[in-house]
Order: sequence, then C-alpha cells, then structure tokens
Amino acid sequence: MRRTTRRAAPLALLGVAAVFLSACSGGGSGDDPTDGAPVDTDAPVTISVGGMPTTENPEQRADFERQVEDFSAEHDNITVEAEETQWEADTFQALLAGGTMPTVMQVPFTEIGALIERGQVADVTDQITGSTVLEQLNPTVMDVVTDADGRIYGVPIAAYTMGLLYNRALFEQAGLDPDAPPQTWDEVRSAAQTIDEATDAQGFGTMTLDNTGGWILSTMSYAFGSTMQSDDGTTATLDNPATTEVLEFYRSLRWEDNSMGSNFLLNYDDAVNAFAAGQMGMFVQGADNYSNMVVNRGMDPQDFGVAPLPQTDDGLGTLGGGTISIINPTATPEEIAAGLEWIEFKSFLQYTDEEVAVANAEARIADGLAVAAPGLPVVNEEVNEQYLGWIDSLINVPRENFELYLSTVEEIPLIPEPAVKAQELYATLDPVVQAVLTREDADIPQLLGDAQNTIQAALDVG
Amino acid sequence: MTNVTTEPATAEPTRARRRRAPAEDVRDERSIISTMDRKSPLVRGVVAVAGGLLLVALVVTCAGPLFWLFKAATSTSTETLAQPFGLWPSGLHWENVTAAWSTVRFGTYLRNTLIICAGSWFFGLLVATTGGYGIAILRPAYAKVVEIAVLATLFIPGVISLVALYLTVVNLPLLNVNLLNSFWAVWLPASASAFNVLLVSRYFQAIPRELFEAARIDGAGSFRVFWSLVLPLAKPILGVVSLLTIIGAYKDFLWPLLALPDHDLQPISVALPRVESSTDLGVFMAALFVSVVIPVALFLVFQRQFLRAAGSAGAIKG
Amino acid sequence: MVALDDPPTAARTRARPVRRRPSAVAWVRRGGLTTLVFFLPLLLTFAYFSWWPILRSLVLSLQQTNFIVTEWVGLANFERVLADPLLLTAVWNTTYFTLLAVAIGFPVPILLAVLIAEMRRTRGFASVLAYLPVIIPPVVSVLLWKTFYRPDEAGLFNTILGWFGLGPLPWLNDPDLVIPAIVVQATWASFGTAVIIYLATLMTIRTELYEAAEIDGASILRRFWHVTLPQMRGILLIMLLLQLIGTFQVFTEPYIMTGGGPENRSMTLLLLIYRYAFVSGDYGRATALSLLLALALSLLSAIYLWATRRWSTS
Repeated sequence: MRRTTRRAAPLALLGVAAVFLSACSGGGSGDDPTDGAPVDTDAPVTISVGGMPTTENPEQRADFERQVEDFSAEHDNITVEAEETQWEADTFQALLAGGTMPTVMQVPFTEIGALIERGQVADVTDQITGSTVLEQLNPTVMDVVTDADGRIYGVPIAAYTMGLLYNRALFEQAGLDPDAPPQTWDEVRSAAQTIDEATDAQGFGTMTLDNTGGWILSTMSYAFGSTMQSDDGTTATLDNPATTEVLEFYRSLRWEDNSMGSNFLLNYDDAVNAFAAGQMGMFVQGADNYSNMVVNRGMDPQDFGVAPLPQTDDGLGTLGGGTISIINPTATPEEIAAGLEWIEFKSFLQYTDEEVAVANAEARIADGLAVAAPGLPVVNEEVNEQYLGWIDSLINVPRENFELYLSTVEEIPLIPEPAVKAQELYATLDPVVQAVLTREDADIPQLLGDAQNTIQAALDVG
Repeated sequence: MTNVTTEPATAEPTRARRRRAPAEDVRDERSIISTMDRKSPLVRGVVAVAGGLLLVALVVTCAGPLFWLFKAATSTSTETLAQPFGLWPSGLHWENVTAAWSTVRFGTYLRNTLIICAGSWFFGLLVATTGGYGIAILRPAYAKVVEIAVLATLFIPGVISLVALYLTVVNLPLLNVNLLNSFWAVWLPASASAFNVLLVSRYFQAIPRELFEAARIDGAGSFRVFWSLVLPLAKPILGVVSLLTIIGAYKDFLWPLLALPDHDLQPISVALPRVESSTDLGVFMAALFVSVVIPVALFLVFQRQFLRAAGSAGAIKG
Repeated sequence: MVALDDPPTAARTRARPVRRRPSAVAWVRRGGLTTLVFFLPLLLTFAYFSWWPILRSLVLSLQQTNFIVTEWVGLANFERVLADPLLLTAVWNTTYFTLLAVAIGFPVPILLAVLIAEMRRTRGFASVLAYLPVIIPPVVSVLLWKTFYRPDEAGLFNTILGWFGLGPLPWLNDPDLVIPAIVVQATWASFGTAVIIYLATLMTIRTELYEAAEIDGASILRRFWHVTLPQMRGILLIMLLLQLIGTFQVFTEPYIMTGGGPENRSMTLLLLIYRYAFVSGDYGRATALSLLLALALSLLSAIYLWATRRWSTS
C-alpha cells in the first residue's frame, strides 16, 4: 500500500501471461510472488547473480565480467552485481539464514526437489511463460524443475547423464581397444580385471562417502532394471533384485577379482582425482566430466574416455542430473523477471544468435577451455544441431573419441533422481556400499532390508 | 616498587612455579625414589634401563612420525610409496616444498593462519585483560553477575551452541551483519573465552588492593592503573594466555571450516584436508611438513614457556 | 545481559538503593562509565558469541525454519532425533570411542609422568618429546596418520606388518578396526598434555611425605601407591572427567579420516550433528541433538563430581 506499484509501462516482454491481481507488490520481501503482481519490466531493479568464477580462474572470471557488462549495456534498468557465490551443500542454508543468497544462483538437479518442498526457491512460472528461448528447452529436462501442479521453479542450464568413464591410456596399456569400451557389465568386469593385472592402476572404482555411494548405486540400479522409489515418492523400492545384483557385482569385483583397489572410503574428489591421475581404469560418473578432468585436473585430453552406461536386458536407462538456475525466494516479481533475463542472456543466447555462439566459443578457446565437450544438451535436438553447426570449426575436443557415447546419448532414457529425500536415500545407501566393499561376509539382503525400512520410515514421516 | 613486583608472585600459578624453579636447579630433588634407593645397584640398574627404554620409546613414537614426515616431504611420491622406510634413495627433493607453495597455494593459507592467530591473540587478550580488570579490580555492583555468567559458560559443553553460534555469526542480531567469510567470524568467537577471563581475573585478584588505592591517591585514573600498573604486573599470566590462545587458533579446525567457506580465506588446517586428494603425495607431505615445522620450531625455542603454560593450565583446571 | 541492553539504566537501578542521588551524572562522575567501558569488550563478545548462542539453542531446538518462515514445532525436533536409527549407532560408536580412548589415554600418561619424574638428567628432554605431538595441529596429525593407515602395501603400518609376513590390514576400511585405529591416533596426539600436567603436579608433592613413607619402610612401589597416587587424586579425577567430556565430542578425526564410514562404524555424535545442520540444513534437529548431548555430558559431570566427592570424603 506504499507508493510502490508503478503500473505505467506496458508489460511487453515477459509479463504477457502474468496473472493480474491488485495485491501489494513491490517491496514484497517474503511475499509469495505467485500472488501475481503486475511486473514492470522497465522499472529500475538491482539483481545479484552468483556463480562468478573465483580469482583462481582469472580467464573464466574475465569472461563472466564481460558478459555482465554486455548485459548491463543492453538493459539500462537492470543493475547486475556479480558474486562468487556457488552452491555447496554445507553453506547453502547459511545463505538463506544470513539473507545473502543472490537473486540468481545455480544448484544441482538433486537439490531442487528439497528446495521446492521447503519453499526455499522462487516460483517463476508467471515470468517464464512467453520467453521464446526458455520454452525451447529439452522437455525431459524441464520436468525436473516442474512440480506436480505444473509450477516452474527454475531454469535448467546444463544437464548430463551418467556414463562409464574410462581411461583410454590404461585401456591401451592393458591391451584393450580404447575405441571399443565395454558395453555390458560382464565386459566391464573383465576389462577391470585386465587393467588391474596389466597396469599399476585399479581396474574399477566407486565412490562411497558423502552420499556418493548411494548416488552411484542408484545409477547402477537403474541400469540393472529398477528405480529406488515409486513415482509418487511415497514408497521406497530400494530393496529390489536389480540393486541386489549391483551389490553382487561390486562384491565379485572386490572379493573375487580384487580389481577395485584397496581404499573404499572415497568421496567425489578422491575418486575423480584418482581417475584423472590414471590410478583408476573405469568408474561410473557424469558423462559431462570432460572439462572437469582435462581443464581442472590436468588429464590428457586423449586419455579421457566416456561410454554409455551399460544396460542389462531390464535396464531402465541412466540417471541424469545437471545444473539449474534458481531465483531467491524473497525476490520481487521485477527481480524475478530481471533474473530470468540474465539467465537467458548468460546461458542461452548462444543457441539463438550465431555471432554470440562463435564469439563465446572463441573466447573459451582463448581461455584454454573446452568447446563442445560431451554432455546432454539442455535445448532440444534441433536447436543443438544448429548450434554445433555454427561453431563446427572451433570444436577443440576430440569428439571422435566419444563416438559411441554421442551417438547413443539421446537413445538411452534419462531417469531422474529419486523425487523425495534423495539425499537421505543416498546417505542411507553409502554404508551399504561400504559394507559390501569392506566385509566379505556382508549380508546383502539384510543390509538392503534395513536400508529399505529406514527410508520407508523417512518417507512416511513426510 | 620492589615490593610491588614480588607481591603478585604469590598468585597461585606463579607460586607453584616459584617453588619448582629453584628445585629444578638443585641436584638433590626428592621424588618417589630417594637418593638412598639410588645407591642400590639394583634400583639404579632398573631405573637406568627403564629410563633408557622410555626415552627410546618416546623418540620412536613422538619424534619418529615427524622424522618420517620430513623424509616423505623431501622424497618423491614413488619413493615414499615403494619404500616407506627408505632413506632418500635419490637424494633430497626440496622441490616438493616449492611445489607446495605454487600448486597448493600454501603461502595464502599460511598467511590466513597467521592473520587468524594474530587477531585471535589480540582480541583474546583484550577481552581477558579488560574483563579481568573489571571483574577483579574495578568490581562494580554488576561484576559478580558478570563473573557468574562467564563462569557458567565454562560448565556448559561447547557443543551446545555450535549451530546457534553459526547462525548468529551468519546474521548478527541487532546489527544484521553477516560475518561469514571474514576473519572477524573467527577472531570474535575465539575471544569470548571464559577460561582466559577467569585465568586472568584470578591472577589480578591476587594483586594486593593497597597498590591501587595508593595509585589512585596519586591521581591515577582507571586507565592509568590498568595500563601502567596492572598489565606490567600481569606479564607472566599474559604470556600463558597468549600462548594458549595462539596455539588454540593455530589448531582449530571445525569453526574456521564453517566460518570461512571461501577458499582464499581458509587457514592451513581447513585447506589441507580439502586439497589432500588432488595433490601429489610428495607435495602434500611437504605442505604437512611446513605446517608442522613452524609450531615445532617455536616450541623448541620456547619450550619452557610452552610446558609451563600447559602445566599451569592444568593447575587451573584442577 | 541486562547491562548490555541498557547499560546506564541498569547501573542506575542498581545504584539507587545504595545512594539517594541516582543521577546519571553522579554515576559517570564516580567512574561508572569508565568501568563500563572496561566491561564492554567482554560483555559484547560474550553476549554475541557465548550467552546468546546458548539461549538461542534452546529456542532453535523447538523451531523449524527455512529462514523465510519459522515455525514453532514443540518437541518434534527431539522426536525426530530419537527416531533416527543412526542415533543409536552414533551413541554406541561415541561411547566405544570414549571408553577405549580413556582406557588407553588415562593410565598411560600417569605412568609416563611418574617415570619421567624419576629421570634426573633427561627429564627435560623426555617432557619435550612427550609434548611434541601436542604441538602439531590436529588436522596435520590426522592427515599424517591417514597416510600411515593406507590400506595397501605402501602404508607405513602395512609395511611393518609385512616384515613379519602379516597383513596388509585395511585399517580405516575395516569396520572393526576403524575406531581402535582412530583412538590410537587421537591418543598419540593428546597424551602429552596430560603428561605435562601430571609432571607439574608431581613436582608439588611435598618431599616430607616420601621421606616419612621411606622411614616407615615403604618400598618404591608402595610409595607410588600410597603417596604419589593419593596426592595426585584431585588432578587425576578432574583430568579423567575432562578426557571423558573431550573425547565425547570427537569430530575432526573421523570427519577427515573416514567421513563416518565404513558402514557408519565411525559415525560419532558430533559428526551426526554436523550432518544434520550443515549438510541437510536441518538446524532444529541439529540443535535438539546438541542439547541432548550437552545435557548428557552435564549429567555425567554432575554424577561424577558427586560420586567422587562422596568417595573422597568417606
């Protein structure tokens, strides 16, 4: 009721489908933005955006700063404050607690369910409708940010599916053909044995700490034929034959072949570093890890191999994930609109504008970054093909090494992570994986039965 | 003034030391085994053998791991893995240490550690001395209440407020300031140490009050008395508090881990576990070694002060 | 706290009954303000970083918050803590850890201190050696031991076992070895403090007591038993309690070495609190568990002090 609502400008760009209600808007901190205040997209607004690369990566940082400048030049009324804020499991809550969460920041796919559930993310449905670019996103990926009522809570900006990463150099050393990666789990097992015997590296590896054990176990279960939860998220189904088979698979590699090394307390960094350093022949991991391995961890580009995640006859597909740009739940409708503008500019302009696509690719090359690294496109196939055509001559990644993966990436269905309490599920499964790897006599049915009860109890509490 | 300097020496912590100090110099100090016993060859033999064994055991268990760390820090990773007990098969490799500086950015973390130690020391002393002065010497009407409130926190296990302290630092009540990712977030909570305040105020209490009356009659105000009379008298206890605070700050892990998520601000203790898996073993051992060398060198130089601080900390706890 | 909220008023109301001229000016003139300035650093830091967080814990444990909306939930947080199957695991692990740590870490420093006290020429050297591990930052010591415990043949301990044709043992990877392995490291890192404190106490035992015992014909061992130990009883009892309380709050070692694994066999209570709060963002549940732990420790201390007092007076 203060003199906050300015209704002068027509709601040209984004507000087309917005619901007009004459509720108190503007200052609106803590107001539910879906109450539908009219959005004035020309009013001056300041947004803070997270994800600015740290000073440890000066080139990427310069690139980011340049984009902020370009964006500001195009949008007179929007002031952008760039921040280094990044999503981290143990600091995200503090951002909310301290009121320092930026207007726009990135979170992994895994988190969005819990954020929606806890009301810690803004509903952007009203502001997103009408944006041509954002409507061209890959529908499977959009499902992740949409709740049961069809409300949208963010914009997926990057996606990946899980694949089998393998070290091509170790394959060659062991006399295996790096262009013919294993396509069944039996082949994985025998390749692991061969690598373990022929090289100093361990053949196969898996992470077990900080919820990664459960994450990979779920991925494998999908490939062996079962999800871990009913679709509505009310029933735990982790005690199933597929998961048992996966654990038996682990057990054979660990206790019969001894091809999984000797340390079974590995977190994400431990495993990724071991792989990049050539100490691990194969492991299951996001297929989009090219940049992470090559650019960040110094792996030889020619050593990086990625294969589609092998599927058994019952295999359902592969687990997928990615990054979502979300908006601060306390943002005003104007801030939401401005935030979406920024997301569109930052992450999608290259799909609609050839010049931007080429300029971005050139800048990435100049900064020593990868162009067209293997991954799952967030835009639909058509748009992606067009984009790859534009930058064809600039691709600096040995895509011929990922032939098999790239040709099948759209074929293997993407199965999202469990919808409800995924992290609790993973945390409960970590010890199960650890048990199988550290105790020869681990009782798999018993372990899964207990985990099933624990998770079911957690789901029942709601 | 001569009188002045001897009087506070009767303060508890010093008395024990004073009694001990001369005794250490005297050759015939008394313990369980008497001089008489030592005349028996059996006793002497047993004592010598036991003493010898004890020393060897202490050298192996306490200095051994450090020596191994030095060896690993100056050997290549392959050597350390292939021959854990081999002594420099290919000579000394100091390049690990330089690599720790360049690839692990050890210099940054070391600087952060020093900043954290210095700030914690300064604010720790500030709070302990001014607070101790207020409680023990100025004694306004509310001093007793404050003292009890401070004392009470000593009996409440620290774990109780970990989460709440974090949320407080993230958003300071009334001020609405977020201290996360600033050194204040480490300095200030560390300075609210009930142990230090009580250590100092107990010491101050032992200073005879006539001294202050006299100074006041001479026209000295509270600040003068504090600065020129009390602080100089309290040097021994300030040394103890300084040492305990600095060691505490150097060692702390969980709190800086929570308060300083920004990698550029993290002290050694927080950064080392984070970089462990991505760092070459030899380089990592070198980083560990440098982190150990600094406090160990200080300890060897100031061993008497260190051991006294440890001993008197125990005396207070008792 | 009162003094902090409104310092002049608080001081004034306290002064009122004493003197009949309660003006602020008089209070300032008497030096009240200067005194308050001296109290300020302490009051501010304690209010913000000690007293308020303790009070806030009590409040938080009854709330559930997403930092946008905060709800009072009564005892629901406590119920959720007690319903977590991990709680029992963590309580058991922590208790096991504490008992093992005290079983090794309590008697060893006593013996060492007594032996070192008997060493005339090398006493200084021996105490320096014993204190050396304490000087090392815990994180460094944990990381160093983590490399010692490497589960493959390249590990230091496995190399030693190898000399005797044993092993390799998986150490931290073994559900049954993990806690003992961490206890050994933790004891190594901390026994020096206790040794130095006991040494300081030993030096204050009055020599007449030993002389009297000797004249009575007490053997060396009997002197230890009847003079040394009783004289050290006060400090021993306190140190035992402090060790119990300290080890009950173990965090750094399992956090860095094992992350609570394998199979949650090194999941301790503090690690669980850390997970609730800083991984799941469930601050209500985390504070509820903190309060329970603090309550248990306080109870333990109270019972312990009461019992030992009775025992020493009887």
